[in-house]
Order: sequence, then structure tokens, then C-alpha cells
Amino acid sequence: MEIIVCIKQVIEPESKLNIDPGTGLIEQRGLSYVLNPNDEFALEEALRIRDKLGQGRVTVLTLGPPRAKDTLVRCLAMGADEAVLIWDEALEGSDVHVTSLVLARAIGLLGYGLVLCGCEAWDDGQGCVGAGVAEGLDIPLITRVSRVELSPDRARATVLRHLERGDQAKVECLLPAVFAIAMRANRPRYPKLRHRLLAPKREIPTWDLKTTGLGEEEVGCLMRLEEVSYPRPRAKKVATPDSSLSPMERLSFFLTGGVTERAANLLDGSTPEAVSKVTEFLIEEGIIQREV
Amino acid sequence: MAQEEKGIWVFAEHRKGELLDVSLELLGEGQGLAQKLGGEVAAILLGHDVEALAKTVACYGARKVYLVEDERLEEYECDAYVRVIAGLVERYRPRVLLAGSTWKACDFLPYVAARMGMAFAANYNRITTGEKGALQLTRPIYGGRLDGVYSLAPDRARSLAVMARPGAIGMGKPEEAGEPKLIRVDPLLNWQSIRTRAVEFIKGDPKKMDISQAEIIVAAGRGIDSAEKLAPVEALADVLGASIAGTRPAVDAGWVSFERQVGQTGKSVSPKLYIACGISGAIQHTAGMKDSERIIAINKDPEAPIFKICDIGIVGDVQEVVPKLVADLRRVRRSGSPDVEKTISHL
Repeated sequence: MEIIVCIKQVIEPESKLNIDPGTGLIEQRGLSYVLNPNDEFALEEALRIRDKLGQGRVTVLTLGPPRAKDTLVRCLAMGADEAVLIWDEALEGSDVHVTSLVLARAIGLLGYGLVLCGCEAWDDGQGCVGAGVAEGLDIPLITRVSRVELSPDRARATVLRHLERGDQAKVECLLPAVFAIAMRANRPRYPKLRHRLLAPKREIPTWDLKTTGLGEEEVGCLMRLEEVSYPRPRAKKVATPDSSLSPMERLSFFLTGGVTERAANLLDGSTPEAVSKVTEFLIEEGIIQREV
Repeated sequence: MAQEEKGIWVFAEHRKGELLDVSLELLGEGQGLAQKLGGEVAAILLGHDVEALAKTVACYGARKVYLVEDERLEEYECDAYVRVIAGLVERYRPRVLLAGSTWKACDFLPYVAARMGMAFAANYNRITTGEKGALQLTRPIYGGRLDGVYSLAPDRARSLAVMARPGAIGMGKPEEAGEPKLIRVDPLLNWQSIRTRAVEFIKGDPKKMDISQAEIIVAAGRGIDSAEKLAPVEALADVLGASIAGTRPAVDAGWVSFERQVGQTGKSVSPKLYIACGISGAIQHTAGMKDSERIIAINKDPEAPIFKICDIGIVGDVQEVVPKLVADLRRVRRSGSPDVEKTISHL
């Protein structure tokens, strides 16, 4: 089975981000780049699926400048079988729309049984390239996937996906499909030293736009990042006491941090009514239901 | 010739027959946008038997409601939602489509945007118009460390799909409104061609859940005294299906794990119900829980500040009161903690 993992090289999340006054964008000098943390889970999941099947091939794919090769090398060291870099000057500054379009086209050329990606890149936080690829290939998409199981004939998969508040859903799906793997779905392996030493010697093909069969006029961005700025600090709610209060009241106001008092209903815990009143309250609030 | 994109749409999301707050927030936001950009605010409502909600969305600002009803739309299926909503977009051409960033919208909205060639943004701060009326938007990037200003290509990006975080905008006030213009749309779905199927719903385990998402929290404080004495508090959490949390002293003492700490140096929570056991209510703690909908406090000291911010307070020893409360709750309640629901009815 051909498993494609779409990854992204991003700025190391702990780096200091400076704004270049000339361009209004992030200053590129002195930055270091890593594999997008969320994509590690996707790659690990792909490797596990391959290892469990005992056959198949994991290909990592990225659209990015030549420096993104370093990240592909790391993916190879982790255990990926192949890596492909897509780069063309016409793709400089491409948005999620163009990225999905180009990736989908490349995946079509590579051949695929399953496509995995991370949930979102930490830099732009969009989390939509998986959907764009699914649309480009016209295959189903499942996001926030935490476990993947393939049917014996590999024609369908059963996955677990996170919803909210810890709820999960089990979803069945026809393959091929795109799964966006949830954060912490697994524990990404640490590449062995031997593999790290061998990986840079592997050849990584670079595909240009022509290889993907797209024309320059087809890769027009819908959205362009014009400038970045430091966010305004969030307005802090400051509790200001009413000037008509007495100094004593104002002082106590500051000491409580302006927490609003509620109509507290104090009960004596030594009496049996206390507990039943709480139970009544919980029933009234709809927290628990009385047995019928 | 295709008609011009004008409408400001809000995906009106609902659970168990009630609209989500974020959808109501976005209707207010939509009104602001409609003033700036022109166009009318419309809501899109998908589901089974949801017509009654049309009235509510009208009160929050929707002039039009696109209603798509089918009993099979009650359960969320990415494929089905994408086809229905993309179909609506194609036919009625909104300029902006807003949705709350819930697990549903995070799933279908980027797919719809990709299908319809709409520009897409997961969360945003502001939408404005730049030169020649082209849309511009500001959104947090790099994990919120920077704001990015994006402009939409005026010739290519005719419309925009965006998501907003729940609670980021703030709710408007509902107003008296007449009946909205109801536009019924047939889903026109070939259900055979839906390629994904949710087969089981697994309820989250409150013990493992992130406390900032918990609906009910039972918290332990210094008054618990020792790890062994946590047992009644855990029993209370079990009977209510609640998550356990702790104050800093409780976490420092190792009774509760760090990711369950509430307060200034821990997490801020706002559950439906917060039960404080043996917590005096220092501001370092209350800063993290004062926004809880209901607060019940149990503490020995009648002068404890926690009693000033609670709805019900019991003056007494946690070790005596809580077991009694657990027994009483078990008496009225069928079973203990909610079991795994084998149903997908409210997906």
C-alpha cells in the first residue's frame, strides 16, 4: 500500500520572531527550521500502519523551498521510504489553496492508497490543507484521527476521531482517504543514529511545477500575507471600585480582586437537611435526574 | 452570468435541539459585517426537525434562513455536510460564510472552501475591506504570537469562509424579530455515495478529560489533609460523572496531578457546576474558577471567602459531609457514573 504523508517545514516553535521593518514580514535571518510538530504524529502513524501490514511504502511529500530538504531527511531517518520535494519559484508565497492543489496533483502522480497529514501547521494554524488535498483527489476526509485500523482487504478503514470534551466517534470510511492525525495520537519515534547518518546520503527528487503538470496561471493565490505585527496585548479586565464606596469597602474590593459575590445559601453541615438541599439544587439545575 | 456574491452567512450549529452560543455570537458579528460590506445576514440550518430554531436565529439577526431538513442529516457526516453546504454556496453565492470553530466546522468548512474556491481562514480577529472593496482579514498566526494581515485576491477570491473561536466575539442581545424568510432546500443527496459513516459514539471519560473542557468539576483543596482522604471527593466525582481538579496546595502535595490544577498558576475553568471541597477560596484559586455557572462549596470554616462566591455553601468537614452527599445522590439517581453510550444520536 502506498501511504503518502504531507508534511511542512516550519520555524522552530521556540524561536524568537522578529519583524523585518523592510518587508513587514518575519525576519528570515538566523531562524532554524524543523518538521511541523503535528506532522510527526502523521508520519509515525504511517510508519506504524506500514510496519503492521508488513508491506507498503511511506512517501513523505512537501511543498517548500530547497531548505525543506533537511526536514525530509529527518523524515527518512525516522523510517520513511521515499521523499519528494516540490519547489518552483512560481510557488513562492503560495497559500493553502495553491498548496493543496499542487500536493493533490503530486499525490495523484505518485499513486496512493492512503494520505495522512497533521492536524494543522503551527505557523499559520489553518488546518485545511488536508481538506484541500481530499477535494483535489475527490476522496473522503476525516480529521482529528487518533487511531487507524485497516480492513484485511485494505478497501476500508475504521478510525477513532476526537470530537470535544473527550468524546470520540468511531467512523468507517472507504479508502483511499485523507486522515488528519490528531496531536498526541501516538509517540513519534526518535531516529536511530545509524539512520540519521545514512539518511542525508539518500537522493530526494525535486519536482518543479512542470513535473506536476500545472501551469503558472493555475497556481494563483486566493489570499496573500501582507504584513505581520505583534498582537495588541489582550485587554485585561480591571475591577474598578465605585467611588461612592467607603475606603474600607474599596480596600476589601481590591483584596477580593473584584470577584462578584453570589447569593450564598449557607447550610450547616451537621444537619441532615444540608445534604438533601444540595441534592434538590442539583436536580433543579438539571445536573442529575431523579429516578422515576 | 453568475450573480454577485453578497450574503453574509452563518452556519447555525445546534446540539440536542439547542443552538450553540458561538452561532448566536456570529449572527451578531454577521450584522456588523453586513453593515460594512453590504448584503444580508442569513443563517444555514441543517438537521432533522430544526425549523423551530429559525425563530431564534432571526432574533439574533438572521433575515433569511436556508433550511435543509433530512433525518439523515441529524448525525454529522462530513461528506453529506460538504455536499449540502457546497450546494447552497453554489446556488445562492454568499460573500462570507462564518462558522464557529467546533469539531464539525473544522471538518467540513475547509472542504467546502476548497470545493467552491473560497478563501479560507481558521479563526480571525477582524474582517475589513481594503482597496477596491477587496476583503482583508487579520488573524493570529504563529500560535498567537503574531497577527497577520491577509488580503484576498480581488479577481480570484470572490468569497470567504472563516471560523471563529467560541466566546471570542461575545453574545449580542436577542431582539424581537418577525418571521425570517424561510428558504427550504432539498438536500438532494445520493446517500449511497456518502463514503464515511459514524458507527459509534464514545462518551469522554471525565477522569481523563482536560478540565478546561469539563462540564462538572469536583475540586479538592488543602482542607483534604492527605491523599487517603481524597476518596470521598473521588466518589462524589464518580456519582456526578465529574472531573477532579485541585488547588495549588492539593497539587503540590501530590493528591491531584498538575494538569488538573485550577487557579492563577493552573488552568481557568468555567464548568456548569464547580464543587469546591476543603477550599478556602484564596484569590489565586478563585481567579481560575469564578466564572463557573454554579458553585457549591464545602468547608469547615464559616468565614472562608469561598462562601462569598458560591451559590450553596455547606459549613462542615468534607470527610463527613461528602460521603453523606454521595449517599443521598446515589439514592435519587439510577446509577453511578454515566456509562459509555452506544448511541450516535447526538453526534
